[in-house]
Amino acid sequence: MQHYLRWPVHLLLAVVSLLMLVPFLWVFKTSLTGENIFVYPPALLPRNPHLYYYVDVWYAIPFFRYLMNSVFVSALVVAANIVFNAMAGYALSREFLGKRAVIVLFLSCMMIPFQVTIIPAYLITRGLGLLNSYLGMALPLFSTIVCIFVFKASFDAIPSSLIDAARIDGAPDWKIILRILMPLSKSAIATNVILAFIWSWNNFLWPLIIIRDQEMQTLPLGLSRFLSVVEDTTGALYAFCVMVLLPGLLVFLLAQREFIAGLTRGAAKG
Amino acid sequence: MKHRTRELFLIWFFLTPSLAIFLLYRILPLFWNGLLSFQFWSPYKPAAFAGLYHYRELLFYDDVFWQVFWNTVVLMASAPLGIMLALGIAVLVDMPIAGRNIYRTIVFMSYPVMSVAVGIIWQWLYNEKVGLFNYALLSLGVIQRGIPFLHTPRLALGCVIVASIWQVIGFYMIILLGGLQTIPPSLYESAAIDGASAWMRFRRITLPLLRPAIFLCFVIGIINSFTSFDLIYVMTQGGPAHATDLLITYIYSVAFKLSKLDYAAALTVVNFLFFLGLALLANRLAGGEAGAVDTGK
Amino acid sequence: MRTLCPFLLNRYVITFGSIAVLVAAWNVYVAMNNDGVITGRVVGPDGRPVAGATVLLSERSLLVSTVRARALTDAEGAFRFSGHRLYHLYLEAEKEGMGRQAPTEFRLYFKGQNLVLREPLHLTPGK
Repeated sequence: MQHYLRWPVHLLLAVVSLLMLVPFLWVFKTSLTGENIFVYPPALLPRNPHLYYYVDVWYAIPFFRYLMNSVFVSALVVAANIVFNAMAGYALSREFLGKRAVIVLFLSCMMIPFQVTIIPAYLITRGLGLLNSYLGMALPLFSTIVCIFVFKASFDAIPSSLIDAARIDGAPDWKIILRILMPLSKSAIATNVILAFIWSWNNFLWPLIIIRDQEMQTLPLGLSRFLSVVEDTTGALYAFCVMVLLPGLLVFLLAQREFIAGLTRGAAKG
Repeated sequence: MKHRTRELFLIWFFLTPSLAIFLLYRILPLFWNGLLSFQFWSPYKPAAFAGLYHYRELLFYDDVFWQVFWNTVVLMASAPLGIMLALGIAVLVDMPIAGRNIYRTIVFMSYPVMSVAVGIIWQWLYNEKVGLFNYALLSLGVIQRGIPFLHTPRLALGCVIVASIWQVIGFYMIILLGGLQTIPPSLYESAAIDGASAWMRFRRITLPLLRPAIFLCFVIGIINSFTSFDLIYVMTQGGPAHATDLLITYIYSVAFKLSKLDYAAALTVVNFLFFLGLALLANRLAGGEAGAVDTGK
Repeated sequence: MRTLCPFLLNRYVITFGSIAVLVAAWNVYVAMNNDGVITGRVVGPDGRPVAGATVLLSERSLLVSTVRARALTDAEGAFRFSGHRLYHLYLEAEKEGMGRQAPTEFRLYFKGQNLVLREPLHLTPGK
């Protein structure tokens, strides 16, 4: 077993952590004092911290509305994702004619990044009359191939003896899925929830394209519109920034393990 | 027999929603895009066939296209730098020290937060009057006046690259960490017994065994440079003078600000072919299936 | 009850549960304190309370400053506003011959928060 000094490693990692945290700390500090906007040179520690910028944000910006929009759309996406992806994953774990073609189709869809589809997707959404709507925002994200394969792998790993035993007992297929397969796929469901939530919560380009009403905006959209409307010489902008960051950070810190596991599994083909 | 048909019905019924979504929002747009790129399209007039008009305009008459193409390539080329840094951090975090999970979380924290917020924060860090970087440089006496980082054409792209690396380094680290943890420690031990130095062990054992993970990071870096819309849009809007415009932000401004959907469609086709070419190349280099990654973002 | 315990100890439930509790408690606090009452005193340059001074309560936006209410101090120099719905307000006081206090900024945590001035408004002579 090698013996090496611990403290250089700690020092290096502490420096790296500081570098990674500086942007967060800086924006948090400015949201408390606003002095970096008006005072030069900017100081390192907050001199007169106060929470009044947060009050300004609360009353001047429909933050709550944006938050609810984001929450609603994300909830829609997560729910649809679990249902549709589990269904497709189950179908892919059975044997049927044309299975290979379907798998190839799905894999090739993975090669089409979302950014390539924005123009026709906009035209399609407009044709469906879904501009400016929650459903329009959520619809393209309703199903993702990575998550389908995560479910497929999870279902494949369940020993067929269990399923056969249930079949012999005369259980209908849907009951087998609900009572046997899903409870055994908890980690696949967790991965699905995390990935779907993050993709829809942080989604910026798609709402930017199809949302015109100020009231329907989601958090990222509201933040960027605020930035372009108000000069960036106000502490309220940074308070808004912090308020936008907090829910995402909270969810991440709560779900760290599932998050990291989900991302690594999604990145290396499931 | 009846059960089998019922099962088949169930299977296809289950596949339908996902298939419908992908057909509607991935496959159909892809082909419609191609179609649009060969047309003169306007919301007020019926479409007319345009042939290669847009492609000629794009390749020969549009300097901005080549500028943004180059910017995208530069962003892609900066991925190795981020990967190397992430490798170093991953190696450090992998060591058995106390609190390594805290370090891991801190480094990774920059990835799941909104790119819009990241863009705003970094835009302000680079601010000429009140930004942290100018403050540091000024108090160290390195410069006399604040540098307008994001408004200087030569510096802007580099600054954006720094912000992009900050954001994605956590993701690289996680992947490399996962790869590091699959290397059995017995390999290191037997190498140490044979008298190999730490550097030799790293070069001969770690690096080769990490190749799939490093490769995966490369692919993610490539995808990142094609999809980094949020960051650029918020930080610089593609300015100054298209110095930080990427293909994707240029497509957005042509399509939705200039309303030239047909030209933007041609740009998108070129973007897609470029991306596809790189992805297939990566697939070939990795020797098969290892190139598939989540492009769901 | 025994099956409920592991459910309650789930970190998600704890986090969101405490957030919900905090939000509810905050709303209760706000509801109890948002009558919009402002009380304070006006003192003269000699430190003695001034009766009959005019106190102006105004709201300032980027461009204009609008007076929302005015009040007169009583014999002990105390004044009272009620029913305001502001969270960012300015108070100034003036008495003929004794001076005035320039508009002082006050920021509150929610609209109509009750405010009791800790420092009295000082009248200082001169423009």
